[in-house]
Amino acid sequence: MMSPEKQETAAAVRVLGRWPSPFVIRVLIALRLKGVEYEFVEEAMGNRSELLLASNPVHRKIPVLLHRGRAVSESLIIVQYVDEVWASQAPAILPSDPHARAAERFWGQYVDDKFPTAIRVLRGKVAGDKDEAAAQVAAALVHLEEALVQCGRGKGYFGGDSLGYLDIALGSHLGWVRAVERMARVCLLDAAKLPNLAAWADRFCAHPAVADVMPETDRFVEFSVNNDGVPPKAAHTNSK
Amino acid sequence: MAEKGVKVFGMWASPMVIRVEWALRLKGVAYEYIDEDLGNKSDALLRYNPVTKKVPVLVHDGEPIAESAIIVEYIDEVWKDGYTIMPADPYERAQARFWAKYADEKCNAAIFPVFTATGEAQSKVVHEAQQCLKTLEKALEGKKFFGGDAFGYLDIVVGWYAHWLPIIEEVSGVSIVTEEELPLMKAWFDQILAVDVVKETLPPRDNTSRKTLIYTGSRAQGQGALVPVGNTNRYQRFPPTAGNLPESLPRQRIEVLGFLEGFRDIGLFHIASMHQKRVWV
Repeated sequence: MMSPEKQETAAAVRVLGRWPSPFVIRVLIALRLKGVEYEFVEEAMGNRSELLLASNPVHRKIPVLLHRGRAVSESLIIVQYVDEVWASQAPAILPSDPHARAAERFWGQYVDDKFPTAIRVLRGKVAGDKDEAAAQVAAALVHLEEALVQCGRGKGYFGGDSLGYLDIALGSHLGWVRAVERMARVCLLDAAKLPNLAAWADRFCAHPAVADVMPETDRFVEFSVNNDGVPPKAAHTNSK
Repeated sequence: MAEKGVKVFGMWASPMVIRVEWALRLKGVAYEYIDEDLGNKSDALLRYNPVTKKVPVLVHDGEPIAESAIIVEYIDEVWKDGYTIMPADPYERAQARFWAKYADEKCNAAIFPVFTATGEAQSKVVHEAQQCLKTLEKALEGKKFFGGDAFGYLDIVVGWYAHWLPIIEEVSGVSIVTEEELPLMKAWFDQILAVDVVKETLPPRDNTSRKTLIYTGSRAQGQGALVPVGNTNRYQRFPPTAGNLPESLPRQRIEVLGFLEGFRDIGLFHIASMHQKRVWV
């Protein structure tokens, strides 16, 4: 049973979302990194709550962060907001050096250009050429392998010693990357070709700020099977 | 020995490039401007931005940064004692970034079809563009600039509308930002065009000494050249191959519609300098 103070604090930060969304996962990781208590308000599938519609009237999408009576939307914008509001709490999510910040923001935007649509295609959630989608993700990961070496400078994360903005931006997609590797039977994160990223991926998923909010691959696969339409092995059945 | 100084790789008609110039000029930072022929990108550009190969790229003491909105934040952070570009408050910053993303993703996508649609389809896309801009306009309520009293980050990101939207309207024969539909935006256009750094950098709109631009269309889509319809203000598509264009077409000057980074599917512009003779590209 939470103390009244903790209850008030927890209610002071709320996240509207659903667990399988990598965008929601980003926000949760950022809050956990900063040690900020929050209330997770689960949005029902296919049925937007009044609260969501009121908080994000422009896009009507999750995640939304509610803090001090105001709403912040767009996952990477929320992550930066969390970093700035709780700037006094370590670790810093974005680095302090302006060039390093710009590089992480650049790659974060790159991730959002290359991954979401391709993953939806590979999941079977939207129609598209799966081979092309897989090639796009694989090509993007080649660039990101290089970026990891450059940004991380031989340390464990894109952020160096500690998990940061770009780790969150890319790492949040790992749940689905691993799930679609299994469902579409493709190898996207090839450990032989992308040794640094492969090691980073395991490290990321095991991080305390991540482990509880990004479940095992099985759960993502199960979610996809139940929600994304045609199941992965439906090749020869009469499917609608 | 590391190179020193600031370079901007750009294309003179690009509204994304101009954001970077505005930010640098607000800070009083001297820079070397390198104009790129996007149909024939320089080795330097490709070396500095091998991932997306686009302009603008800022090179600061030899280190490149790409993506215009990201470059603007970088400039604000490096030259932090100069003019304040980003708001100080984290919530205001989040709002500014939110609307910048909205404008670049939604509004630009809504505006582009105005340029290419005709007839009834065009009135539909004009309406959609207006709806998008009306949403953005809410962020102007009670303020002179998006940044409040002073020209700020969001003004830098969307300020190009003040110059380019009237041009798009003229070339396409439509009205988008009107007193009736978008009064706040219309008033804001005047504020933007009065800002010193904006005045210093805008490409000429009504320029008699002229560069004439022939839109050669998207290589990927083969959309072809835009050529005038008789003596009207309207333009129509023409097959893409240079040299097929008939001699009898009147020479027209069209303004550059600098759709580069935001409108990925429109392809490239080629600049042809046409003084007294016809040069097709």
